[in-house]
Amino acid sequence: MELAIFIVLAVLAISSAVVVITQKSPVYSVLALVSTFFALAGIYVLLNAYFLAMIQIAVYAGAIMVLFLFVVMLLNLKEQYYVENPKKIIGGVLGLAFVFALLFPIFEIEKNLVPESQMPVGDAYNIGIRLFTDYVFPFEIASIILLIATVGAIVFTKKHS
Amino acid sequence: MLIDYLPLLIVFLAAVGFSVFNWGLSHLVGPSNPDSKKLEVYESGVTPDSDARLKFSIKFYIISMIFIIFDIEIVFMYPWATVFKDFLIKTGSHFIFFEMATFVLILLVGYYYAWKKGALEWE
Repeated sequence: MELAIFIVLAVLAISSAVVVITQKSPVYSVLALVSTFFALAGIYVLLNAYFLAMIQIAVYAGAIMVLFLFVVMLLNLKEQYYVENPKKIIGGVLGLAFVFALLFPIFEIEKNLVPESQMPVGDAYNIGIRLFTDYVFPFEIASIILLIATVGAIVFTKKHS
Repeated sequence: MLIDYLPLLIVFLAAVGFSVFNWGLSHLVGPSNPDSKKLEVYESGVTPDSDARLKFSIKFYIISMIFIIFDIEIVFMYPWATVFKDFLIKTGSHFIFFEMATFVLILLVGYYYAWKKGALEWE
């Protein structure tokens, strides 16, 4: 049963990701990316990462996709989004390199897999326990990264007076 | 555990099914004889004089960027609020409160900066 759900979600995620890169209109690409994020949220649920699944929908499918749509509309692309061939080749090579870089850790993980019954449940409580004891420092670093993001967004967009 | 998510799946399928069913039904049953008047963007309305894809102001981008940053701040508060009471009972110290206080304080610096730079104003 779980395998069936996983296959449905994986097919949905990959097919909508293909739609993202094959669509001519960037607005359609953004909408296809939303469905990719929903399928990923489903896969997170299958991995017992319930909190992450909710955040995936609330932050990625909600807030970040709105930002992407704004950027698409800010750039106001009409016919200029046809990419020349040299750029396509460079992009393809970089994309393949990224896929291979991702494949290595996947084979590493396979060597020491933990049975699902022993896996901790990734709900808000367990994440909170780990985050505020062992991972306090990364948690505080996150606030500094958010601060940098705030300052960066304002510096790049505000007119210098 | 996974079975807990069955209602969510049913709601999701119902939402998708409802829209697909209605759209498909109107597509199948409804008569379709388009002409140039009917295919106008606002049928019987104001004649459009420009493209719908106009340039948006950068202000929308700043507002949504600041929204996402404080959205993520709230995401961290959610597990914090869940474990807060248990932490106080088990450890007997208020350490967890100061953890979040530091977090919020650093973000308040960003908020103050945005305020002073006028990023929150909509002139």
